[in-house]
Amino acid sequence: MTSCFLRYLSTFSLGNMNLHKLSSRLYPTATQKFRHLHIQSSGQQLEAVAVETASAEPNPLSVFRTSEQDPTYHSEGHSGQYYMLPPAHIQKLFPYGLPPRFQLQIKTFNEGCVMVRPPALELISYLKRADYSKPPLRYVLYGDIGTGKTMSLCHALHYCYTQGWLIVHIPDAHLWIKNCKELLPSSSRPSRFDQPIQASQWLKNFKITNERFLSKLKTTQRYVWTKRESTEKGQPLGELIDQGVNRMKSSSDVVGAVLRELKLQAGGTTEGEGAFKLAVAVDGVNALWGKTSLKKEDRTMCEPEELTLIHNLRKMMKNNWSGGAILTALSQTGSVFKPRSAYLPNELLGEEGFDSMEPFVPVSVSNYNEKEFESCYLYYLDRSWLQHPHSRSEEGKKELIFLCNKNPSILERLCAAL
Amino acid sequence: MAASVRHLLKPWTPSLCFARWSRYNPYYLDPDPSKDTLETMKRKQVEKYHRSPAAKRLEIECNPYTIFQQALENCKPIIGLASVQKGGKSYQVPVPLTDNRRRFLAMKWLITECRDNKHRRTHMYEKLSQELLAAFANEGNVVKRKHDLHKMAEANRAYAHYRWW
Repeated sequence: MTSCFLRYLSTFSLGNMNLHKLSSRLYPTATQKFRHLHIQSSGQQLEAVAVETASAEPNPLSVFRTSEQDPTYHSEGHSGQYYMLPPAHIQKLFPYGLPPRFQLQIKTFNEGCVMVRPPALELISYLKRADYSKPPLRYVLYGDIGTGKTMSLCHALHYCYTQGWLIVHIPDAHLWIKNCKELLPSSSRPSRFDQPIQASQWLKNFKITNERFLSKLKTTQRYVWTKRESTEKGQPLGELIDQGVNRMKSSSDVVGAVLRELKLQAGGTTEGEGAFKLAVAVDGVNALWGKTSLKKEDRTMCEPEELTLIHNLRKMMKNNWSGGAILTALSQTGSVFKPRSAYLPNELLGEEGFDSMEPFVPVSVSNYNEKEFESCYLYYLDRSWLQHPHSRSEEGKKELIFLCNKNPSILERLCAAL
Repeated sequence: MAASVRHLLKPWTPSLCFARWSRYNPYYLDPDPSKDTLETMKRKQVEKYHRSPAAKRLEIECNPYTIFQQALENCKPIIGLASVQKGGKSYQVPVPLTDNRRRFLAMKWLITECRDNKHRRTHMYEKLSQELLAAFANEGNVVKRKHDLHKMAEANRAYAHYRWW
């Protein structure tokens, strides 16, 4: 109670109702420009374009947004600028794939804006130039905590989606190796364990993302689930997925079957018009080769190899198929039994993981540089997220740089409280 | 830079966990309970701001500090009741309150309201932010309690002469 009181006193001395008006009198140019931007109309993209083309001198307003909504055309010139994710794409592609704080941000700002950054641009340029008749390349995004690996992965995935690829997105592989409420012994193999809830959840999300492919692709083999249920050869993939969603017991095996089908058909050589490219995106790929925190019934630890879902994912990571790409990102935040300071692929993947993933293309993600920090700061100012008058001054900006070391996630958490 | 050196403020063995600050071992950082309330309030207001048409945007206040100040101002009672004993019977006498007492009452009412009358499963910062936003708009249970106190004081106006200080 006393600490509340002291904090109350401190805020009282800094903040006063009149200070808001005082600040707008002291810094008329910046705040009034932003106010003007708000009041004009609801078409923010149009405004940004108008400002860019109209002013000849470098106007700081135009630097942080770009009107280019298609990741295909993003280039070095757009680096550091925010582009808006179309809401339809967010609903279809990312019902579950974005980081939770970013989802909160989308809800608050009523729009989803992603910054174009060099690691994502690098990844997209590799994807553009790769040869898809050869086995897929493995890209691993690595970096310190909170530098934007998941966001870069989502940016690259958005590019794949706009190009019409089939997306297999596992938002966080760590969720499959910990906190599992139901661990059933597998129906098909005696030594494996099933996770029906996670598998059916994933199948539902897969269905939402890849609606249009479900009726086109057909199974190549007959799958028998129980004595009375089986899926015949030549059935559309949508039926297989419905089978998995409705019958929770065999959902993990359905996941394995779906992955196998996609691997076989990704090359596009079987059917003429069914040719598609497959993008396998796994966030937290170090979960596949670490330890799990799940226990078997006799209270011994489960190996990741014994879980059906993990086993099938590991098979996808091998590059014995063609016609796609494997995009992965390491993650220490969700990992079990790994120290907080570990962020390199060697440390997080472990020996086994590194040997399986090798050869891969490492893409390093780091903190914001000056230009990116500037554009992030301007974006928050534009969205009226930085409310404290001191944070809008030059000194406040320097304080922010010092406190967060230009780390994106820490900056976001700091600005939330201001 | 502060973010990257934060890991130095750790206990020197994995089995140790600091629970409180002491002058000889200042490695414990108190958690700040106020930033969650401010953040939730700001989020709700900014969401309202972005979803409203341009005409209404100027009226929506997004600064969590000003909302907090104004909400507290709205919860402070102007006049209070004191129990005075006269002739064997005690009467509730309307009495002016000092600034400190008013502030104390406003904060106490907010906290008790959040503790008692909200859903059990919500966090304290959520409950506080809802109550503060309601008080900012002069609605909600705390402002109602302040109005009840004022009405009682108005009703007991006749006993005002029993006050001798």
